[in-house]
Amino acid sequence: MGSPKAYADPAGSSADESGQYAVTPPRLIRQVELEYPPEALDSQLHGDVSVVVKVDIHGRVERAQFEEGDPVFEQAALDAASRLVFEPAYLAGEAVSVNTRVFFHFAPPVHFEDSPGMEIIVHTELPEQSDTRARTTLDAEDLERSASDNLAETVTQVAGVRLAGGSTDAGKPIIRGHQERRLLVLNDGIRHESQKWGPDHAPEIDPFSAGSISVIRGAAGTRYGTDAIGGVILVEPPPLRMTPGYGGRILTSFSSNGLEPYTAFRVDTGSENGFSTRVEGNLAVGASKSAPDYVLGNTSSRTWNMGGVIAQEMGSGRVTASWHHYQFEAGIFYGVTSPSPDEFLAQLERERPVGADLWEVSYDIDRPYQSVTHDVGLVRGEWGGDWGSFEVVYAFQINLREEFERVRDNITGSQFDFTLRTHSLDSFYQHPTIAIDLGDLEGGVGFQISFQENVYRGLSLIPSYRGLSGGLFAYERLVLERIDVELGARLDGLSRTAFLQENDYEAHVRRGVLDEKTCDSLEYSYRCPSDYTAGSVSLGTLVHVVPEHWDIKLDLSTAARFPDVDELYIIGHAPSLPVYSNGYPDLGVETVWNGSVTSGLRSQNIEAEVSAYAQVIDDYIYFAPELTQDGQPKVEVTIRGSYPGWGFKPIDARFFGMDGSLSLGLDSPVGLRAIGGLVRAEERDSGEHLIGTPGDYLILSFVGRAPDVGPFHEIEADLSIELVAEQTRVDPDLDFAAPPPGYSLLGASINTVIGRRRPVRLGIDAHNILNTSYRDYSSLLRYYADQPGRDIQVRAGMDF
Amino acid sequence: MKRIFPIASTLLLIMTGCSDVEGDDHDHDHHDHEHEVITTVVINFSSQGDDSESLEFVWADPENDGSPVVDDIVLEDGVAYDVYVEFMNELEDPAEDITPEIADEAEEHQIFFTGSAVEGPATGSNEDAVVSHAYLDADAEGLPIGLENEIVSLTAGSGELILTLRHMPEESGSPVKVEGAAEDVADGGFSAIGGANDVSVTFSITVE
Repeated sequence: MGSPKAYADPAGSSADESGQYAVTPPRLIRQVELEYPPEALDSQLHGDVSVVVKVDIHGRVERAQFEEGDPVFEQAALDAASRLVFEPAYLAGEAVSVNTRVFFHFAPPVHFEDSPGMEIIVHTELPEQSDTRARTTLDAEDLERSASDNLAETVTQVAGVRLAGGSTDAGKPIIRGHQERRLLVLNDGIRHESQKWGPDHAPEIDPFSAGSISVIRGAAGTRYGTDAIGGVILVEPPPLRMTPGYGGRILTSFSSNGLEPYTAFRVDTGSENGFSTRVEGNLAVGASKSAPDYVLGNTSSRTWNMGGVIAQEMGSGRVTASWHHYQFEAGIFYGVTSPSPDEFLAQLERERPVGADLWEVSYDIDRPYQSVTHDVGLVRGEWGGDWGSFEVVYAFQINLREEFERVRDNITGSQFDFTLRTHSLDSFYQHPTIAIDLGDLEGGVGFQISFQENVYRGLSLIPSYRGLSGGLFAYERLVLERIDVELGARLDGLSRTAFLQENDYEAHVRRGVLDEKTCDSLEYSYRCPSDYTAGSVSLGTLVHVVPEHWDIKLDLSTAARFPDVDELYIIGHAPSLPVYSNGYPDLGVETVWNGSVTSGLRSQNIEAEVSAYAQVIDDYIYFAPELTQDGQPKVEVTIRGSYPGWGFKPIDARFFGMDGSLSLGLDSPVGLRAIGGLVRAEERDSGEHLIGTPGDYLILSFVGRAPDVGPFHEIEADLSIELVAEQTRVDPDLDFAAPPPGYSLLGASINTVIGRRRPVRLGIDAHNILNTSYRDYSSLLRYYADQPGRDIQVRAGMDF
Repeated sequence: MKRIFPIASTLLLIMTGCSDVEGDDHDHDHHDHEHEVITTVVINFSSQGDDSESLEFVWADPENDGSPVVDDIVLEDGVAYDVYVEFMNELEDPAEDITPEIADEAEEHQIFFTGSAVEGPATGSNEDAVVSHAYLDADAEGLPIGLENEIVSLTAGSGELILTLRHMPEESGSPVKVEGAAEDVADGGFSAIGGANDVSVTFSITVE
């Protein structure tokens, strides 16, 4: 790569990072060779030039106008600019013609004779490229291909992200070995608040409401707040329509395993006076899924979502208000009972669950089941000008969760009932770019305040609580020609008061873990306050080794997590597992020190990213068997039997690993895609591997693209194989059961578009084609039954 | 903005106004969050020869917090007893008798007697047994329930008696409680039958 490089930078392309602009900017897809003007050779001049181009709805440059720079480069820049090809700008799903500013940097060739024509290198500021951490964005096309999947299933398209399956048709994401407690989900910029502590409590977010979903792997606490230890999932809505008229999208699919129809729609309107609206919704009704050899009884589910948005342009800004309702009802697999330890071990030996012969594919939802709603309403104001930009958002979330156990007929209603209400106020000011001697300085300062109440009604499990939290953060980014350096700092605090029922309070005091002096007695409960504070810092570096083609990112970050209320105070038999759980009220703040190196390679036919990371976590809260004072396993005697006692305890841990992706032949008739990852998680003192760390995996896809056939175009087929290794490192004695063997699954898909004026996107996806029986180490189901077998999904979607 | 603040604060009140985060009297609230709590098992033995004398043994965790008080069962050798089992919820005041609900749903319930001291349908033959067990009752399908039983003391000695109340509600509309459940437990343990334990308590039993 000895030849000098020049690059262009379509202005405004960083706009899509926050999703707050109406138009998705055009994205450069074809590079052209840039001629260094011979007349400038003598002077060996370097030069920055900006050109304004008008990109039409087909992505071609309709007009190019020289704006700024040394006139010696004018003609060469205009020639290059007029040959650029973009993916057009989109407004509410429709291609629109826009003006875009393109920057060129001219550098003289070292050996001009050797390289008469230079490759132009384009620097498009996609969020994943400007982030100093490993970051991947799933766009509308990726999201459509996972139609009817839940959020966790959707994000497994990203390297390093695995699915923690549950005993219902729901799942939780795992990023770099960390589950939901240690992940932060931001939905439209708002911290998603839910009962995320339960093994069967999936994030209540509808992926269809997203225009894009970005996954940041690794600690990102400074920018996004507490809990961002394993990573952050950013769910961004598609841009609103800001021009008069209407548009929208419909999507429908049917999945064979679970006989699940799914349908979704979105309608956007815009008007002359800057008023926009959106109405969207979807519905999925699934019957029980089937493993290869039996039906997974009572895994039926019903999901529906509805949302609306209104927005009004106001001067140099906009005010948006929205409300989204999420509703999920799902049976809990009949096979997951609350067995005694002996019975649990004995049923693991069985080839099929004891009730398997009775189970039928049915849309009925029987006890046990869960019923969950999540509502989020927000009002956002955002303004911009030469003074910078300012955003303020108030949001209200209410998450209702009811769990219905198998009970005698005289009992109606739920047995566990949680109501979580959260009010939050987020604000962020970004100063205008400041040109200093070294380069450009970008940055801003922001705060978050949130008030939360969780009311729990039910048997001993967790206490109700009330909490007030706040965070203050600032970051600055120095942008040099080839290097960006970002520094961030943040301070967080939480003041939480838990209200323990008398029995639970007394049990904790009796166990000797709760100091009576820390709690006051109220009429019906004991009030136990706890306060936490944490600071975090980050230093990120992004080196454009070869601008737009090859970059290296180095990130050093810290992040913190305050203990969840269940880790402090849970008491009782854990549903689904043969243990009795005990909280530990003295737990402190979990702190992670994270370092990562990520390298990305992009050219016309190759995209690759590999990231290596190491994390040291102090006071990592770990759920493990409790021992008595003389070192024997603790046994808790209940009327349902005797269970081993498990508790939350702080340990010092380390996590390290690698993940990455590779795409070859992006536009060729044949291509290859690969994603994979591995994680190691250990207790630092003993070197013992931590339970629950996913096995190593690799997914390989062979892609074939066919020429247009009649009305069919963009024909693409792929065949993929998912290879998952056995988790051989964990000590089986510390887990409830030995890890299942590794497995490989075959999948295939065909996607095409029919018609051109009103194109309809069609797809068929087949998962687990060979109907392989397997169990997945990360799934709760592995203790009770095989994972679902073959599933074939057909799908059709169109924009209007 | 003047208009927004009153609206926002009213909304805030509506959204948080009905909060009962500080707890209510959970033992006495009856609004839809009922629980199937059993805190106490009572086994009543009365001699078939002389039913005026009855013996009562209790396994009780009245606070439902894992600190049970358990009676040791002591029986006379060579006596046939009628044995009645009762289940109570002592979190309620007065204590609630759960036994009639189990009898009402007998098709979904069965009580099993196992342990080192027992010989009966749920254990198979047992050389160490000091008592034998037999069911005296049956549900509408003719399957044993185990609320009424016969226990005969066989020989002097001691061991464990484990009483298990298994709740076996229908799955996919089919009965889970089937004929031969006790024999299946004898052959393959509780993992060989469907349903889940509502109660599994262990008594020590001595025949003198």
